Amino acid sequence: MSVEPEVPIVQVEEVRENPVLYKIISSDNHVFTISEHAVKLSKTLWDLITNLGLTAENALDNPIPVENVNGKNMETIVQFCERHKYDEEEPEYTNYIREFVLPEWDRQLLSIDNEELFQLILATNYLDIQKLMDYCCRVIGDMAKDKTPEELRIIYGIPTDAEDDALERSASDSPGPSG
Amino acid sequence: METHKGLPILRLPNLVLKEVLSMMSPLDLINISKTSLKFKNIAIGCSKQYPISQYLVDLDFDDLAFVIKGTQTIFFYELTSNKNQEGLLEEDDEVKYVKYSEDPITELMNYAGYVMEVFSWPVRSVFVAFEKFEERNKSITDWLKMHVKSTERCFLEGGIISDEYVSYFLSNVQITTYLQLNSKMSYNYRLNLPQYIESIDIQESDFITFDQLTSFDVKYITLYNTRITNQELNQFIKNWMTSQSNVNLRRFEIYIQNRHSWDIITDLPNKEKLEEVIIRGLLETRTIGRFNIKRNDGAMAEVYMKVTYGEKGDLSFHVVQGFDIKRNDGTVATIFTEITRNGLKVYMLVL
Repeated sequence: MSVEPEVPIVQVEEVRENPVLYKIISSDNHVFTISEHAVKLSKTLWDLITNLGLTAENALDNPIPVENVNGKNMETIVQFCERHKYDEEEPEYTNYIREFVLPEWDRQLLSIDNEELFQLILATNYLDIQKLMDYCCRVIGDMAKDKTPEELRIIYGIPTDAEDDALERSASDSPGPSG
Repeated sequence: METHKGLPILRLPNLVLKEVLSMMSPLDLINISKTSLKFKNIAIGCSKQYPISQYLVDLDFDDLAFVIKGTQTIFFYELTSNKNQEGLLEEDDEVKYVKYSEDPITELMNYAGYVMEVFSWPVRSVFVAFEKFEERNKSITDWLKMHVKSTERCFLEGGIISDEYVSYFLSNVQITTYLQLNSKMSYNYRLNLPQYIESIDIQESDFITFDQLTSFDVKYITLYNTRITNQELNQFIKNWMTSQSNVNLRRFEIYIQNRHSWDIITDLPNKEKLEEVIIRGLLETRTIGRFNIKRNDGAMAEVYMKVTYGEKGDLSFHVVQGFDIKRNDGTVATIFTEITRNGLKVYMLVL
């Protein structure tokens, strides 16, 4: 089954420049087209493209299967990458605390339910898209704003100490693989 | 077992979880660490790593606040005994959570103790107001001794005579860099400075004698309301010039009475008058040479120079009264005056 993404993923300027396009197949066989600039935001995909030796000539004839990401998440990821493909490269942030405001477009894109967001962040982690990872983490982190520990336990599905103990007991009581 | 709905944060890969936590405000981070023992241990692990390890805290036993710095936004966990003040306040660069407690001092100690146990953020500044919670002064110091290894800066306030409290505090809490003493002290109080301190700023310094001043082996000294006489100040500078005292001094600031005082203080050998000096090592923005002028139609204008300078910055400006002096080892210091709102101030900057 092939699904066309809802947003135009190729921008006018790029069409004029005759861009290189790639095809990606999600785990549930949805097919997506993504431009070269956009796909470079995913370190995993770009490494794959480089290793497979895909070129402008053969890219569309050789769809890239991504078995760990379903169509729904891939659609969001393609939209995100196309939106941010011309962003300036950001410096490495490892040694200081970042403060940034999530752009409204991205906040809208990531206004999805918790299960979807959870799956999206796993997909983003797998595809190694740093900016989307930052934004997803910001959305998840912001859920904690002004909440009590009791509220946070519910928001983030954190078991109580008693539940953790019970889980641990049941794990140790259950027979191992050898019976 | 899936007993909870919500985003299952503990099922995220470790690196992703760490990144989520690093996106939270420190106040939220503290709250999430309290959700379970398991999460507390995760928080302890993350606290040792960048960027969460970058936070610094101020312990404010004056305004009863635990203050977290490290980003452009400053986070306050403030305690109040007024229930109506409870809640979250957000301003431009400040997020303040005000929490009601019947015993705000104990609550602040509990909160700060927990945070420092879990996150080990270094304490940058401690503020204590001795007159505010007088019956708790000793217990606050005892708590600080037990929970705070050292603080970089310390601000001691007190509208009451605070000899006993200051002595007890300074002998129990380690200050590594800066002491600002704003409390009232007895005229004959003898200040014993912490061993490794670099800078002192004493607002009510009328208890500081010439002998004490010459015994302060620190880099930076600022004295307000001094009892040091003009002749003693003159001797202080002469002692410096002959390496008899204060050999590590980098900057000395003191308020004097008037221009006549200046003449007595600066009656020194081999001074070299300056029209312009290069100032190094001042850390603040200061207004220099403020004066009023009057136009022929009676309109008044205030003229002043506002300058910002830091350790690495140099600054050239015209000095009304200033000169260089030289120590017997060749070290040069510049002495000059500044007219401030509080009066005439003398600077001695070792170059």
